[in-house]
Amino acid sequence: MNDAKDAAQILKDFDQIGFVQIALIVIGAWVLVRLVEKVFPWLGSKVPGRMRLFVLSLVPVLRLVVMIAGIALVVPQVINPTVQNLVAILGAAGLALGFAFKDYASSLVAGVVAIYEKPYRPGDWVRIDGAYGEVQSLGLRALRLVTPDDTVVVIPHMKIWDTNVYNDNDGQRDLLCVADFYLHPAHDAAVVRRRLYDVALTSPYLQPERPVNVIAAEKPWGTHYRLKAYPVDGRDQFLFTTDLTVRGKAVLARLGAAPAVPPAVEAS
Amino acid sequence: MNQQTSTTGQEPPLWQYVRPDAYVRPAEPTAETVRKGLLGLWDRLRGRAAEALVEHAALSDLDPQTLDRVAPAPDWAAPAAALDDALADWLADDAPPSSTQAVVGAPGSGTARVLTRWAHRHGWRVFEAPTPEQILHPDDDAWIDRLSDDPETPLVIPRLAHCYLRHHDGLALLRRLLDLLWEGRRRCLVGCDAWAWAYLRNAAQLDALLPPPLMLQAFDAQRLRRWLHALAQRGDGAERVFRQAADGAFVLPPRPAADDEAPAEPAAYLRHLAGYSHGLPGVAWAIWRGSLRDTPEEAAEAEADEAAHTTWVKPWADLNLPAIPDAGSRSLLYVLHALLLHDGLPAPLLATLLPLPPGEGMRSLHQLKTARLIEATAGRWRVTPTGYPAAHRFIKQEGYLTPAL
Repeated sequence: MNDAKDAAQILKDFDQIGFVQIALIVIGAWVLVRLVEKVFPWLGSKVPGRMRLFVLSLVPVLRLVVMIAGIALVVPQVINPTVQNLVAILGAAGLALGFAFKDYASSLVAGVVAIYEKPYRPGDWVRIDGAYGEVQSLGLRALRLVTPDDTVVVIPHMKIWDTNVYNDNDGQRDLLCVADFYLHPAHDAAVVRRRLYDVALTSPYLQPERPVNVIAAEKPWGTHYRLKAYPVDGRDQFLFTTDLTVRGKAVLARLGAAPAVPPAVEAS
Repeated sequence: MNQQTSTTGQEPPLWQYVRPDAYVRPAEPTAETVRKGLLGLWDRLRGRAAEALVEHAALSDLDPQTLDRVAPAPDWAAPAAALDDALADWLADDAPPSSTQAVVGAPGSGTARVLTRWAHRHGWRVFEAPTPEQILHPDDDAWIDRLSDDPETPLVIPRLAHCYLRHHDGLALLRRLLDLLWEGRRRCLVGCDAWAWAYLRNAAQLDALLPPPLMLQAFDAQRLRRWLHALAQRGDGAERVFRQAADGAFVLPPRPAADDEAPAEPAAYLRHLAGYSHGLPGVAWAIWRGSLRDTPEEAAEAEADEAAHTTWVKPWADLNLPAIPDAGSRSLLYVLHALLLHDGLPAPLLATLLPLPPGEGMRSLHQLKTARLIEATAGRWRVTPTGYPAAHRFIKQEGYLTPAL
């Protein structure tokens, strides 16, 4: 009897609940969230390149603000807003979510954590569970990744609990790119190294304020060169790597450096 | 000493070469910065070029002859004389720390012309830049061998930016040249565009090889007022006043302040001009010429009796300055950047230097030319003086290498 009375005290009387206000708040919040999700990515494509990542990173934060504000406005419409009532409602909701939508709730919580810990942000190039691409957007439950092959991968935020996230640029515009060259061991390594260095220095995509490195490693089948440099804009990473590869190959061909020969595989 | 480099009691020399730590670039007025920023963002959002054309129907363009009298081309003899002052210690020193001295200037600073004039005046040998073919075939020694001709005569290399190409084969010849200059005791004065200098600091370690460069001190509003007034006087000697078309305020008064008077505050137009042009005289001069309008006929009759002829100046906000046509295009960015880094390029070289799709380079050139951002002179496509500020802003906003000038 007392429990029924307590429950009645938590919830407002039916005729006191502002259904119209609740509907308006929900619709308003939904419209705002959609606006944020549409307008800011579009804005990010229009503003100067240096501001793009900042504009994109505002999307999840603004969405969270809108949603918290919406919940804060709806709750007092339904319950009598005392501390005890709020604790009781939140506890019950948490219990229900924990049992019925455990993974969904875990992703929602991880989504909030991702906003603060920033393991990835829109515009970052990340590798999660074998998928590599640019983070296009952060949703409530999952992030959307676009791979270099233009495939969209949806990954739930809960992956951050138990999976390593490899972030290539971590909020910066530039990211390290590597062009690989495999040469037959009979060549002048010093000349090759110098010429590959010039290949990177003269790329129009290069960020000259970041270091350029040529790493050489001797292998049983030949010499492996790794030309490492940063493009100004991470979006150009494949154009940059292609440019390094095409011009590097031309330089090496003129030097007479033969490509490495793969080791023979014995027939069983 | 040249008249234009002389000082009054309170004013610095008009032309002055300074080290980088003494260089002061004039700031744009805050209101203009905000206006440009907001308008620029708005134009980006709309995906079209900025337009700010409001013609004053009553005022007409100056005919070319009048324009050449009112705002004649800069005379680079005065900065050449100022260079004497800046180089005096280096020239007087029998064993200077470096036998090579660089002079760096952004487009519109007239560096190459000043150095060429200076070389002729002092009897130094002008060493012209190699051809692009020679740069791309560094084993061809024809050009570098000419360096040893007449070994006793000091050298002036007015355009170091034309001695390299941003190409994997385009740096070797420049490195050989720098090594020879660094090892030798022969005096050499090197002129370099500021964009090329910014690039070669990384690519060829110019900073380590050469002492801090000299650069023409930027023209602030005070300097611009004195210089533009002197130019107008030089044209035909007639007394002229320059007034703002919008409110009649003087941009250039009938006479500059006398030596014993404190100089008056420069007009707002000149402060805008100094900031927008980065203090580069060639850029400011080109914008200034585009701002001048003739007096309407009825007003001309009315002022016939007055001592000074009035030339009207378009309000700053109404100037139709070149703007980037399609700010989203990466091709335009790469083409503009390449042109600036090389102090202009022949069109066929674009395909060699930039990994653009076939035809994209020419399409970009056409687009930039239509927008009045580039022009072809002496076989090279260069950024126009009036287009330079927009090009600089665009490249800087995209995060690519820009010089501080």
